[in-house]
Amino acid sequence: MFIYLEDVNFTYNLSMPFETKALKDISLEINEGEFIGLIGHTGCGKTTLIQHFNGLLIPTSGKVYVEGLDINERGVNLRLIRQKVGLVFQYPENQLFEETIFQEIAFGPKKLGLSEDKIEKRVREALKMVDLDYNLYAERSPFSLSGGEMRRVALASILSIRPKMLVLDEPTANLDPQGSNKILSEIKAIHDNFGITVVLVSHNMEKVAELVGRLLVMHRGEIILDGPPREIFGKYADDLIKVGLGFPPVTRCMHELKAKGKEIYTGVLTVEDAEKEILVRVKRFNKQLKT
Amino acid sequence: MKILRNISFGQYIPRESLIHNLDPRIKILSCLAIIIGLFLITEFLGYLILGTVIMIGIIISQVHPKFVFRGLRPILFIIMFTLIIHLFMTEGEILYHLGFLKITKEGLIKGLLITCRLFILILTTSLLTLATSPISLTDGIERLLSVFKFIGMPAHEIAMMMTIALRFIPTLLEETEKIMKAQISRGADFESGNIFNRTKNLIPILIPLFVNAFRRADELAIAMEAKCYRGGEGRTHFRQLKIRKADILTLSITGVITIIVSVMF
Repeated sequence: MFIYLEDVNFTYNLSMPFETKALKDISLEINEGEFIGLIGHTGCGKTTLIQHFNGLLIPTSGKVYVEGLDINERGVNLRLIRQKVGLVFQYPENQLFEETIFQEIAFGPKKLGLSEDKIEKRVREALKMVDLDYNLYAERSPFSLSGGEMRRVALASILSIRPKMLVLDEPTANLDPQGSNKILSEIKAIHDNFGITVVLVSHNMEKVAELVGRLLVMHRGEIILDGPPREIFGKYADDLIKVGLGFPPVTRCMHELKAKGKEIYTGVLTVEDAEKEILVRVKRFNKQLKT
Repeated sequence: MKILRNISFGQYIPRESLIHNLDPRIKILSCLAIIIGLFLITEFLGYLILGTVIMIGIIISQVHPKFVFRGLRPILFIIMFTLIIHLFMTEGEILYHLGFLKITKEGLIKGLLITCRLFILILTTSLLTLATSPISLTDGIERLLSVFKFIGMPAHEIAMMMTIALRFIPTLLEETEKIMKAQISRGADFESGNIFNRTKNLIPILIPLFVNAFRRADELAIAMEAKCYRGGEGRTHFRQLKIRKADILTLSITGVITIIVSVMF
């Protein structure tokens, strides 16, 4: 168990006129190596929740454990926790500040007090993980890059502290389809090749659903659904509709076929799977006709 | 990070009260009168009277006193500092020796007077901003400043700049908090180290903040241009300010009280 939350509540502006309850009794376990998608409407508490993972927010009540460490305990080393859990905020390109991309990515390792050699190694490694060429990019200014590239540099600047878990808040927001596909496939590769636990926050489930192994659905500060995406999109369709969340278009298509009286499995997430499923059904149907 | 959330200075609390509905020009002028009075008074009784006036204003405004007094918190340090300076730096009848420092009677009185003055000053301006929406506040300022148009005062432009500045305070605060959190996640540390190091540690916050502010300014300028904004000339107002009986009454009451108090004390 990498992260464990127990009855976590969080309230903004506690005991003030603007008091808002952002999280309600959230209990959650995240295991090492998982690839998790966290979806929900804007304002449902996704960003608030992930800020508990690395101790940026401390729960109003309840407990948060990161690798067994209680973040609420006195004297707990929050910097150590933040090194384990790398949090990439929404629009991370807005946090860039250094003169060169090298320095930008070296910021974290430098704060860890590593030697020059090790820092350079980490920068090279991080740039490679986001598929940017060290020789071409290291000495350029981060402000000269395109939006997608800036975001990848920002991602690299978290990867260079070698977190065991990577939490990304809307990593594809405001990117063109190409840029967002690119960054998602890099995140997937980071998870697959380095065994890093990933939590991907998004309100757009279309692409997330294909990638992740487990899906958390949040609504008004609560986790209402938790399971593999196929199961959630297949079984709990009504719940999703009730809270106003949609499906990936392919899944919706399958649901519509089912609604028309066709016997079909609705928990598919990609066009390929849908094609297979439909072909199987058609063949079976033809066979039935023959006999 | 908590500090940023607690800044209430300049915040507006919407309510339906007599004070809220006053003409902004009247509110500004009344506050101005009280502030001038504050600087003329040299006795405690005068401060007591003006303080009472402001307290009555706070009660009428229906704004929770908690908000008004929260505005005092950031300047508490300045008040303490001036009090201490006055305590030790004024010559006169010695009350108490503290090593090589001495507290004088004159210093104590002067320090307390200044404390009262600053206290009421902040309460007055807090009440003004808490009970006046930024839009009507700048409207009021624009109208008041246009009196000086004949000497070339760009009243509309000044008011517009103020509106924009006020509008972006919460945005920038929010952004500062976000950037701080992002840099903390990357390993930055804002809480330990000596003053020199702490100042240096602010660079990762300030640079992105400036970059984003400039970008925002650029975007806003383009958006305004796209809406054919051309400054104040020939521009009419959707909200017409009107002086009513309550306004005249308020200004006369505060004006008269201030004049009497400043003459007497």
